[in-house]
Amino acid sequence: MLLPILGLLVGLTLGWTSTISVPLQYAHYLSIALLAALDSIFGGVRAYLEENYDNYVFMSGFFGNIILAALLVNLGERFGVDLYLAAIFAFGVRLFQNLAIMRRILLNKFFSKK
Amino acid sequence: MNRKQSSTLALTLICLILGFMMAINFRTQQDVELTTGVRDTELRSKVIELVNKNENLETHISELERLLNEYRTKSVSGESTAEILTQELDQIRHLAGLTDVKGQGVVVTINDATSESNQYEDPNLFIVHDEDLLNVVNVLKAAGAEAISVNGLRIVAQSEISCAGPVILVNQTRLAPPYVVSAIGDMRNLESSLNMRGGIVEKLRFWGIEIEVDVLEDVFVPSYKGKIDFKFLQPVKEGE
Repeated sequence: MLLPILGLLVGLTLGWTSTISVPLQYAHYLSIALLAALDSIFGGVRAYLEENYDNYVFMSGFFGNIILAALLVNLGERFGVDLYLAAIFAFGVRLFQNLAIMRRILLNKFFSKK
Repeated sequence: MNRKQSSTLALTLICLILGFMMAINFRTQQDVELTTGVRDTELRSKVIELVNKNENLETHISELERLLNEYRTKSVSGESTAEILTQELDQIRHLAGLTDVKGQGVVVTINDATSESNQYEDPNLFIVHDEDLLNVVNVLKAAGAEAISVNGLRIVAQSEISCAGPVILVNQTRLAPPYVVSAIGDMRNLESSLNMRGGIVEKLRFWGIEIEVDVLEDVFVPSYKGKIDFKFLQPVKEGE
């Protein structure tokens, strides 16, 4: 569990120090992709806690969600409908659900140990 | 064990990507705020400030004009040579466009084309340019207009009509559409020279630009409100 956090920190510093920046018109693509990625991460952690974590499911979910979210944003732009709201809604709800389940599992573990 | 190691590796990799994305997204959003949010409010407050300043200056101008009139009437009272001089001065002031005037004439309202322009056509063709406005003023002058104003700005000898990006500059003031050109002169002459076949109105209407010519008995043309400073010219005395 320590290595992933280290990876996160390294990624953050890399992102800060690099001069790469996204063109402004694509800024919300990145935001949605980020939300999708966060959703996958929390899903993965939850699965890890539930002890049915599968590497392939996690990896495919991570990249699949990002790509799907970006496509959805693009589609919404073409249709003139703010479809990205659907992505925000779905991912947001899932995030909260995952967090709730993680909390319950952690609380159970904590209290059963005592 | 191997499976657990590989999954940890995958998680690390993904966390690295996530961190990278987060950092870049954070920076980008900062840029967005810098270029839109802050700028918007800044510009808005600047506009309000300038509008207030403008109003203050205009009240200042009217104050000074009132004072000038007072001095003039004071100096007139009594002396006859002074009276003649004031008459002459008035004449010159009319000529220079420094007085509010009214009379018969036309009011021309010009606005950008509102009909949706075809996406394959140049949108530049459907907006009012400085040239169009200049043409209208020129036609009016040629038809014998005695006084002309554009959006309340008197056209005098020093006036310019030039392009300043999305707006038109007249008397160093930015104007946006609709443009209202008021002209005093023989109203029939003015109207017919504008509406003449192949004339300026027909040309502009061809591009969908909305142009309306109203013939009025009573057109008001305000005085020139700016300051005229001469830096370079020196009068030449007769006989020299």
